[in-house]
Amino acid sequence: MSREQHQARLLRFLETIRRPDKRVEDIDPNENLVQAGLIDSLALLEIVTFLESEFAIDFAATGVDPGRLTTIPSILDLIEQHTT
Amino acid sequence: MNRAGRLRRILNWHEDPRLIAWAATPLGRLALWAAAVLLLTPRLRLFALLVLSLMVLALVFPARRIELLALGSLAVAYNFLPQSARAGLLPKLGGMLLMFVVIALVFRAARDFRKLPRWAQHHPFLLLHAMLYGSLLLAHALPAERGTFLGALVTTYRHVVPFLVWRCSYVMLAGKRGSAAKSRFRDHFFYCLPIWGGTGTPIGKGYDYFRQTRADAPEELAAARLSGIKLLGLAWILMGFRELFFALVHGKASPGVTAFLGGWNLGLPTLGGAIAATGTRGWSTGTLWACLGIELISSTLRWAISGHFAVGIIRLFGFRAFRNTYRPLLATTLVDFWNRFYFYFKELLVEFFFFPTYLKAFKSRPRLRIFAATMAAAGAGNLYFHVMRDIRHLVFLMPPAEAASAAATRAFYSLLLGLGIFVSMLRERERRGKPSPPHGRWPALRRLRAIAGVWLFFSLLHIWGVAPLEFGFERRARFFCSLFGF
Repeated sequence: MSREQHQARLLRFLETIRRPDKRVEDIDPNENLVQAGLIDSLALLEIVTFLESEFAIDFAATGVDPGRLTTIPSILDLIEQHTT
Repeated sequence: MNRAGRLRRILNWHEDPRLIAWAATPLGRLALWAAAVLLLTPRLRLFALLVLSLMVLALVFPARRIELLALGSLAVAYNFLPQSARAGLLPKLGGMLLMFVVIALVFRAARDFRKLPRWAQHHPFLLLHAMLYGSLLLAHALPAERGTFLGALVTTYRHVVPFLVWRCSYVMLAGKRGSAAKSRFRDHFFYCLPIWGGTGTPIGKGYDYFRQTRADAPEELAAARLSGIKLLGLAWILMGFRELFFALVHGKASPGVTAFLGGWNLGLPTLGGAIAATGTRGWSTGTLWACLGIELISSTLRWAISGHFAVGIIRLFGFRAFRNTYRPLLATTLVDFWNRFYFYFKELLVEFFFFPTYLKAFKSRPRLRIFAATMAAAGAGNLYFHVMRDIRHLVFLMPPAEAASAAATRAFYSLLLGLGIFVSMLRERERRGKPSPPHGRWPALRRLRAIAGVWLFFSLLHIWGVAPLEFGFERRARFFCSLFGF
């Protein structure tokens, strides 16, 4: 699966957890999702669960670096790192 | 632009693109440094000389800021030496070398993490804490003769390990994540003995966070530095407010402020004072409830001021670190308050307790998964952090029954906090992704009610967390009952 396809799936997912007053397309792609107000910091858990279930990423061995879950490119990098 | 927009622009003056562009120029950098001199010297006194010297070099050579900060850490190591270890050159050098060795050993283990034995890779923090706290208890049991080399080493070790434990844990976390493999010792040394000081909770977390928040482009650097100046200024405003607040409610203030108020004050006790006097002073129920609210404001001010100074310095060195305290008294949910009250302590619990549990336990049962992770962090992790922080007091200085009561108090505090955060998290989770509910006729009133609920929870929780440990469980429970007239 290409990076674009990963991104499309990720954006569809972010749409389901975003704050009601913010839209995914309104934020800069490199912006911090929490600082931009798109999601709250707890929504990072939902992102972890999404990555586990959709991409079969197992974080148990390496742990989670919350900093890598806060921008769309860094999440995509994480997916690529674990799926290639 | 409407009035709210203008106000927002004034409050966010540090984000003005023209100002940022100017702050990136040589003159702008000089002005930033001059502002730092004004804002840091009265607070840090002599130590400001070191911070400001390093800062001016970092303004000129930003690419070398890690080296500069690591150089500052040598002075911090010296500053850390207890008085008894400062008699003679040899004890001083020995004490500093000891700190260096502890950090170097942990760094070595983190850098070569994949070469560690399998069991060590599976439980690195358990192993690290067992070694550090085990050796600390041993150091407390050993005699530390004043004036001897060995005595100086023992007292230094006792002094520095509680400060280093969680910083070394961040070094190890970078090892576990694999990011430490290509790092250098100085990349870790500077945050283990940081020039911005702090408590056992590492402000700025560790290697990964500094790497992620590091600003490199000139305008990014200027923006980070400006936000640092803003934070230092805010810290001074809060200090002034605290002075006035304490003068008004407790009558504790400098002579100037007392004279300004004409000696008038509400004469309210602190929460600690009220708990200490439970059953002996006949304060009204209203006074006791007022103490709770005042304690919440006081503790928020305390963490905000110290956090703003620390994060302000970090930002002046070009790292876009989060504030430690960000308007917690306006939070409308418990979990939001916890996130904003003491960010770096919450992060510590999340990274070392919440996520490890969340990633391993009850994956197929979402609610139970969140419950287990929340109780591991806000409950067990919180209890562990504080009990280990106070271990010397609990094991060596307090009678066993008193120590057990103090530990029980902290356990109760952690249990209540964990349950509160869990319920709040579930409510937030259910709301997420759904359209906002209609505000109704009184949105401001609804918001105020939510804020009041958060204040009530954390004010009551503070009864079980306020110092000193000696209050124990029973006295605090009696104070709690007295709030309701019992």
